Amino acid sequence: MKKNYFLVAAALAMAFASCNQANLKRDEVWVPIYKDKAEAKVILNLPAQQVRSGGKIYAYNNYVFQLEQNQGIHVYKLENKKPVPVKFIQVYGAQEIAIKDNLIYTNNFKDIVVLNITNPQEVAVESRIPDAFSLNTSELPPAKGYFQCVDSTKGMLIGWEKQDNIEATCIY
Amino acid sequence: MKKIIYTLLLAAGVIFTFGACSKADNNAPGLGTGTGGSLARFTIYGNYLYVVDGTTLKTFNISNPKNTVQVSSIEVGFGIETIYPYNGNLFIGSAMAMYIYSLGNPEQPRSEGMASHVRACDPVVAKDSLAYVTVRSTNNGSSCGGSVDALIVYNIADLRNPTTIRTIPMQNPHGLGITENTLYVCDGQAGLKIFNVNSIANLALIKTIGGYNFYDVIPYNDVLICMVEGGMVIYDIADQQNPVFVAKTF
Repeated sequence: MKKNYFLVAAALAMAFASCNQANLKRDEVWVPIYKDKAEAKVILNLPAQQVRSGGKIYAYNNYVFQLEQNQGIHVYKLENKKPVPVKFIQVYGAQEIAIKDNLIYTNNFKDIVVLNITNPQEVAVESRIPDAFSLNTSELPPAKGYFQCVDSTKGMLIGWEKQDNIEATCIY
Repeated sequence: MKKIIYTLLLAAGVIFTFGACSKADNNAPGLGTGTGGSLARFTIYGNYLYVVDGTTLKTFNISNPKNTVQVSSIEVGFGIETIYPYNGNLFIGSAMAMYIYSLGNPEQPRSEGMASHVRACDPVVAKDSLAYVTVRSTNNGSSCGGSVDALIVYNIADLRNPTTIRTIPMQNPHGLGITENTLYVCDGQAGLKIFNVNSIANLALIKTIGGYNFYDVIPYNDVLICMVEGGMVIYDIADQQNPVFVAKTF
């Protein structure tokens, strides 16, 4: 009989624990956006895009560049000092840029990639140096608050989005 | 007769092809080395790409773009964030200090000196015998630690012994850029601050441009390229100390 009480108590405890779990569902939770590992290494020429989360800037002859954090590179041509959108180069994980003699050096996550922009409309991959940029990238969302911890088995982290009514497994 | 026509057609084809090529060339960006902002972790000097990650300075020989080769890796210190090349030296900003490396041997940058400062984020630019550093505190959301927000001016006439000349309080300083006589400091929401640096004794704030949350800046010929929250803003700096808004990308 005593044993049964114990079981009931355990069941109740379990129930309360799962209630607590349910309570962990929150609004405005930062959720990681993942990209499949193979897909994350594909460099693409895309039409010009709006800046969403603008990163570092760079000037090269009459062109200016702005990183889209973890997404790629916006290319603009300066005409009468005005930046005219030319294109967007998809480079996931990109944070950095430097250019010499029509070659862009940027990072595709931890790889340094060399992109040929002799024809700015058709940027070509010249070479790739694997694991050359071992920056300890942050696994924290862009702002403090509740978030879902990064799970590297799900792919490469390429950004964050806020979701409502979802479990938050981490906070900072 | 047929031969002549073929020859003419061939010649026309060749001319057309070359015509198309030269047209493409007109659109090509051209040669040379570009200019980065003060928040960069990649910079090119001569035939070398210098990269700073968390604690190390890596040097890559880029003479052969098909075969970029890492030639050295040097431990610099904790919390490195930025690299800025000037006059044969690299200025490296970390969460604790400004480090100076000389490039006498471009494959093996040599440590010259350092200036420790309060714990903070700190991009660097340099001109003549002066280096300008901004330090930004944790109060302003940086993860670098510290509690001071300021522009610090160092005398670097002796690279091995940088000394502090001035400390000017700022609100939320990020990147900065410099021309012959003008220093541009991005002070976040507090605006873009423009200093006359003709004479360090008279280092003076000339004006502040508001309207955006300023993060970094590149003075580039007669334009000022600004990284701001939302994208990029361009000013005309034909008159360096009086930027005039031209356009924005958002």
